[in-house]
Amino acid sequence: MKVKFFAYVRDKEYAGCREISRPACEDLKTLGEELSEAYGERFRHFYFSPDGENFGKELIILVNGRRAEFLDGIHTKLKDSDTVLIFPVVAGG
Amino acid sequence: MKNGYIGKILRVDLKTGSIKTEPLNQKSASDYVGARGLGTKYFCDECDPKVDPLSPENKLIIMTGPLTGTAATSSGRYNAVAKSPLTGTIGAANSGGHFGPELKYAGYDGIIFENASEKPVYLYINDSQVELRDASHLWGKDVYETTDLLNEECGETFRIACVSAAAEEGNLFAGIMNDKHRAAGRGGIGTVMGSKKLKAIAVKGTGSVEVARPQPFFHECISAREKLAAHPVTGAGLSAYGTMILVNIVNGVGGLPVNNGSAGSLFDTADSISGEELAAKHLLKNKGCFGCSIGCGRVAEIKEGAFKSRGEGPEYEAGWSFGADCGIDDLGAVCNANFLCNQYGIDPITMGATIACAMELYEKGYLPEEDIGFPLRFGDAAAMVKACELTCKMEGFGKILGLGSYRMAEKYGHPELSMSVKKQEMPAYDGRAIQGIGLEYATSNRGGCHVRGYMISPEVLGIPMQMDPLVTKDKPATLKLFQDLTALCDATGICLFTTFGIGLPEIAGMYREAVGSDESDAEILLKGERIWNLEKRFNIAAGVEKDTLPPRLLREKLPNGPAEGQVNELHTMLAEYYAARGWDAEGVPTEAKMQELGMASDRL
Repeated sequence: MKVKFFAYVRDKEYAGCREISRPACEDLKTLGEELSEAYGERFRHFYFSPDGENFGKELIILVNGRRAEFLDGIHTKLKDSDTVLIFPVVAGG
Repeated sequence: MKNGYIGKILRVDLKTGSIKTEPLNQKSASDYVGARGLGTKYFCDECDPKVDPLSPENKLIIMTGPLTGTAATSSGRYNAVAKSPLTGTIGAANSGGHFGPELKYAGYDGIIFENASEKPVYLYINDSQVELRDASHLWGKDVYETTDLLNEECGETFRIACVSAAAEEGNLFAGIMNDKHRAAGRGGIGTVMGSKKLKAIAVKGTGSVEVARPQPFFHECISAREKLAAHPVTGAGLSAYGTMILVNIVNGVGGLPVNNGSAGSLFDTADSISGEELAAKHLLKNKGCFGCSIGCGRVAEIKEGAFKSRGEGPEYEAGWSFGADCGIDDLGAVCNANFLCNQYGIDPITMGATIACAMELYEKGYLPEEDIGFPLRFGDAAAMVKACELTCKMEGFGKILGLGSYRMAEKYGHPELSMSVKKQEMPAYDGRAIQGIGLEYATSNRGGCHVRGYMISPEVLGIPMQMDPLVTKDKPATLKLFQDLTALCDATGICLFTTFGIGLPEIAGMYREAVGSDESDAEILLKGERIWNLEKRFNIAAGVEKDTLPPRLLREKLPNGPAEGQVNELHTMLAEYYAARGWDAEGVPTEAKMQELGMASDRL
């Protein structure tokens, strides 16, 4: 499974890289927990809502190009062939 | 006046040299607010919709809004209005910087230019001293040269809006450039100015703008600014990365058109032309317009190599048009082409998309190499920049590219390869992967355009709510609301980017206190709907073609990405959209709607 990071999520205070390859985990909640273990509390606060049961409000997360909200949300299942994209809220035009 | 307006309009007859001031039409100002709305109202009252856009009879109107130049956030905007030579629609183009506020400080809400001059002239405005001056020495100069020369001549503190040689030579997508780098960019509004032999406007003002209820007004302004500062996009993201931050997320949802849309909308090397890459390697600093706390502007430099250059931008749209749309992932080339467009005052969206169209025509064998003078293949960065430069200078094949993609593709027998609506190129989002933006392109009153109803906000970014880009449900009604609110926002004179962080309550709040109105939010939003309907009625009277999309978006299924297999479902959305607007099945505003909006007795 590939996980790609964008904008300030690439900074060393968060993921500190553009992309990682890793084995799939069960779902997006598990992924958030494992990434938070690796990257620390700032990343956890970005990824999760304060109760840890949902996504943080500044997170945009896509699985194979689809926003998680249109899949099964934080419980979206993952497999090895998936690509997960992690963005902060962005805009432009 | 003490209501956000100055109360005076300058009327300049370029043929006779007559310059008069007249009172602002307060009824029109109340009904159509200002800037895009009021400029369009004046235009529709005074101009025949069938007018030839490049004839002297087409008028050019510069108009500010009641919030322009006030303490309202990001209030540096003005609109330029004329019939567009590119589309034949009403052409209103919006620009920031400092020019609009300066015009109000000089004592004018707007300027109406009539007829055409025989010799090149510029309009000099120093408060009440207003003169048409000879511009023969400026004719043929680019935007930077013209601005520098006028600042030498008039004084450093003058704000300059001007056109470049491309506009003088009839490039159909030349803009009006102010403060060197800010553009009233789309639809060839600068071409109209060039056709009138009006090279520039130089303005300096020492007055101020007074509002109706100062204390409540400042309270509204501060509250709006606090909301913008607290929002992750308007408070941090846009200043850090600029608008090119969108490249990766739009590509992520499979909506970034590649190779003129012929290769789908997933660009493998999108990250190379992203806002992150620009910030990491080429950004010198960010820059804001008048009174803006967002500061989305970029000052960037390509320090070495074939594309060594420096300037402002690029914005996301140019990043795409010169990048993915031409199959190019060299950010240096993208920046170089964008800087050229600023220097020569042409629209980079239409420019890049027209080069992309030429690349497809060339690769398919419809456009002979001898016409171009060199190979023009997707992915060839040097050829792309060369084509751009030729168009900026209107030399060689650049004269054909300067017609825009539709007229060029039609000349070579394949207008279906022009990715345009009403002859204006669609911007950087694929309407097959993002359904609502396709409806926006089809229905925009100035042809293919994203900033008349920015459906990317809900469909991709989740602002202010989240909608699935792949479905059509609820898109027509949402688009109508976005279009009406955008028309209102543009008309007030504040920047559309504020609407990532604030909405109708804040915009209506600032407007109400500035003009001294007690209208409700709904009544104020109705002014946006009125503007939209006036624009539509003008287009119908002008005989503009029906609302549709290029055949590629309606029939060619996306070959890859999350929207694989999709086309734009325009036919299911359009009828619902017309119904939501209160229009008939052909998209004509009904008598009942005109009554509701108080427009039944209007000329148009």
